[in-house]
Amino acid sequence: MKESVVLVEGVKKVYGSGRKRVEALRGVDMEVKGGELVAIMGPSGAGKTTLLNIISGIEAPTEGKVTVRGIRVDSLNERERRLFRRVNIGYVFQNYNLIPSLNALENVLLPSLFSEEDLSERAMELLKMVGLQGRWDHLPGELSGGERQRVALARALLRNPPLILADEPTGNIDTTQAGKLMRILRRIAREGKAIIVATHDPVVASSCHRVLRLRDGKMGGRM
Amino acid sequence: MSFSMPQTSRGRPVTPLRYAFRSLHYRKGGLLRALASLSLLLIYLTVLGGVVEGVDREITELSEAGEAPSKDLLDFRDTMGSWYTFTFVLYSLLMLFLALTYFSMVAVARGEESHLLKSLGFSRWEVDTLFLLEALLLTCLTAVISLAVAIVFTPIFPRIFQPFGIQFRATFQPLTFLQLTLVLVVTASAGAVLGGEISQRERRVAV
Repeated sequence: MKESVVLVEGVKKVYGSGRKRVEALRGVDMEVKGGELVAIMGPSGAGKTTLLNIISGIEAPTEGKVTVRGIRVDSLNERERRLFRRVNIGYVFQNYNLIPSLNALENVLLPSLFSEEDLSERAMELLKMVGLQGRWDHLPGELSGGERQRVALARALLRNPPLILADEPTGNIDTTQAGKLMRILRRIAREGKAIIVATHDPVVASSCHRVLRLRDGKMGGRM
Repeated sequence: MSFSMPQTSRGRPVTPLRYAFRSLHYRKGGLLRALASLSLLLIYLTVLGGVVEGVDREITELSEAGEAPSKDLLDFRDTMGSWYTFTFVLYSLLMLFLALTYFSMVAVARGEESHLLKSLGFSRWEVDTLFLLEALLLTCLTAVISLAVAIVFTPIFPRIFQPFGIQFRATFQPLTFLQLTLVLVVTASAGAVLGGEISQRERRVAV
């Protein structure tokens, strides 16, 4: 039986107070195991990004428990959450978030910026895995949207985290490139990593192992 | 899977200092404009300083020879002296303005960058280090290069003034250099502190 990587129990998130109170998440429960590629589907404003931010420890939940590989993320302080993220989470953003002044290889190496460890060889292996080994010295501005997103994925994998969170990773790329990216994600999942993809694209969701629907801050069933 | 490692450079391909340099290099348009305007202003400043010094010397020589300097000469020295002070203040303000606006704009435009660094697990201190390094690099590079440009080009100006009977040495006075150092220290600190503060604010907004 596969090990549970993410366990979310009764998570609520409230922003603001009084008349400005917004309930972004209203009691979310979910579990993702190692080797699973799970899609969280929902319209804009459903709370997908908030949920990913809470799982990664970028934000703290107002209520509920978040456990990642046995670590209670919701009870960590800011410093511990930062260290937790560094080791356990790889994040892929919709708009790539590559540093425009650094080339592809340097962008992949960004998580090791303050580390004495030289991870250049691993970074090149990852670029090769995403099919960009010949373009390691290209700046993000010289790459297509799909290629940029693959560089971002390689960066997320640099420290070999057990959990990859992808927030609308195909939102800015064409369907061919999206298909290519999803194939890479499936391959990574086969290696035992847990991957959560937030998306509103049914085609992307259909290439995941499991789909969870999030609507108005609540899980609305599986597909 | 076999392939050869790219020969990027010696050492680790990405370090905080290289990150800051790359960032400055990427935005070199702003750096070049700053360099050009500051170099011109510094040349102007040096020339004025030279004129004031030349007129001062002439007045001293006249006094030593027992002759009274003309009212025109005295007025000319006073006017030039005020212009010198005014220009130096302008130079200082421009340096300060450059540091403050550049880094507030950069920090605002790079809210996403701050968010990214935070999501990668960087600490506040680490993110600030990157912004501070960049602020210090820009300020120091701009000042040092504009100083060098001014030193190279100012000797041309005495020749331009010669036909008008104005003799002066256009060289840097120790005082100018000291004042410039002071301006640099203040500007770099102000730019760095503000850059760091704004990066913090933007990061909070972005996350």
